[in-house]
Amino acid sequence: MSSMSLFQIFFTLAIVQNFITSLFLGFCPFFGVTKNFKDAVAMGGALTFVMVGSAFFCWILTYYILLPFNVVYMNNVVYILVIATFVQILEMFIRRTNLRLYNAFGIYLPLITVHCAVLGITIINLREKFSFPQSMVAAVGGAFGVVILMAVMSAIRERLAVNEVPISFRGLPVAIMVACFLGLAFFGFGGMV
Amino acid sequence: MFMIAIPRQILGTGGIAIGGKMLFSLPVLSKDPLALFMLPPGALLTMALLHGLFRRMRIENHE
Repeated sequence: MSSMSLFQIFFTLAIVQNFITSLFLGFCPFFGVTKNFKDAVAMGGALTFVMVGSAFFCWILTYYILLPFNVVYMNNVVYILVIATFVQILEMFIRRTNLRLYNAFGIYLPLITVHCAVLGITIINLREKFSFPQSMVAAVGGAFGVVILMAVMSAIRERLAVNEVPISFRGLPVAIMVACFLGLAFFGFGGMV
Repeated sequence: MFMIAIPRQILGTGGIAIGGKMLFSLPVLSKDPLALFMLPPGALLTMALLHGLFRRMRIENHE
């Protein structure tokens, strides 16, 4: 993937290999927070900040500390520490500035620490040996894919809440089915890159 | 995982194969398998259908 252009990396991680529908990373907040549009977009914004920030610092730590000192095997520990720090800063900021949003996030805001997509992007950047601009574009692309999917999903779920769904499929099953069809739609772009 | 994998393999390939050996195949599905179930979104569809099925069974048990 490192031989791809920046646009191809962005498009691949945002649409074709979407973190949620293709790589299956970050399911819990995806189904938990997409009950209303506003919270989904806010969660997407917080996730984007953490993903891009983590990718930025993790790239610097990897190429200026882990690789020169030959301790790349410590990558997961270092990445988790960086992500946890970011989430703490974000949590403090949201609690001070928007208490309603903080309450809406509930358990999902601290859960960004263990959000698979956040750790996933840092590991993908290392695995694919991305340069610094490539890793930033990959992080923005991955986050964009998650945000757009959460926004679409929340809009559909708001409509579903007022529609008649068979009793056995009410709630989570129909949400998973919607995610399936969204995934198929995203998968359809596969031939473009 | 097992419960998701079995229906996906049966519907996606038309049968069950272990180590390249076909244990059984379904007559219609082996010729025209439902390729959707082998794609990543197929896992979500299977999960949703299983979830719905279990809930249906739970509702019937309560009744």
